[in-house]
Amino acid sequence: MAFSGADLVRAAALLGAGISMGFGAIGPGVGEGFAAGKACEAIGRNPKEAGLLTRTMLVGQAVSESTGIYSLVVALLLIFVV
Amino acid sequence: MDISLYAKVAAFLGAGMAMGFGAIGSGIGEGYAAKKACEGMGRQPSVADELLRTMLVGQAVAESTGIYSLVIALLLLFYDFSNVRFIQIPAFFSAGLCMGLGAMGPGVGEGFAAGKACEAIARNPETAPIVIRTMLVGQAVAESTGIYSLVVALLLIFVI
Repeated sequence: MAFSGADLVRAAALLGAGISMGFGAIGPGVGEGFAAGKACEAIGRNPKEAGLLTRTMLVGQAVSESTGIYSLVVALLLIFVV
Repeated sequence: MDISLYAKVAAFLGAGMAMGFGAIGSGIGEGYAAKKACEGMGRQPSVADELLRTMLVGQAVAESTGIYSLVIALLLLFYDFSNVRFIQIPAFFSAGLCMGLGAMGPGVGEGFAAGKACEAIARNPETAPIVIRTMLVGQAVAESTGIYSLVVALLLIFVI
């Protein structure tokens, strides 16, 4: 099996892409689910504030999502640009 | 030693990691949903049907990332290795790692949302429709990182 140094760099970049997106997806998944769960709990306790709670949940989840999107961008850069 | 042998080694390791890690999150999350549904039924047996339905819907959503992992693992296991290139060796391994780890977070988070929805319905059964809607919206957002992982894994298997 013959491969050059450039092949090795590309191999490392592809491995890095998988690690980046894999670990990067853990945090937002847990955090956004936690926000959704607590929003459900609060709406069950106080249904009149459902609109406010849903809006707050979505804003919080959007912020929490940002690191997942960074991971996606880095993974795509490692696959297609490096 | 030819490349297809190394590609098989990498793909089978990747398949194992995809399904192994991917099962952790869904398992924890669905177990939490079941726990909260049982607690709610113990507190309010009259809403047991509603709780069972909510629990199953929430668990079905939490299961989805586990199913993505299974799909990636099967794709890696049954890939046609007859003319692979060197660069596909790390790509197979990386695809399994990406989908396996990426399935953990959404599985746990969506299961947590399902559990809390069951808790809220047991406490205040007339809020069930709005709680279930909020649960599904929240789970859809939490699912997004799992879908990113699936997309990256598919790119690594079929586009590289």
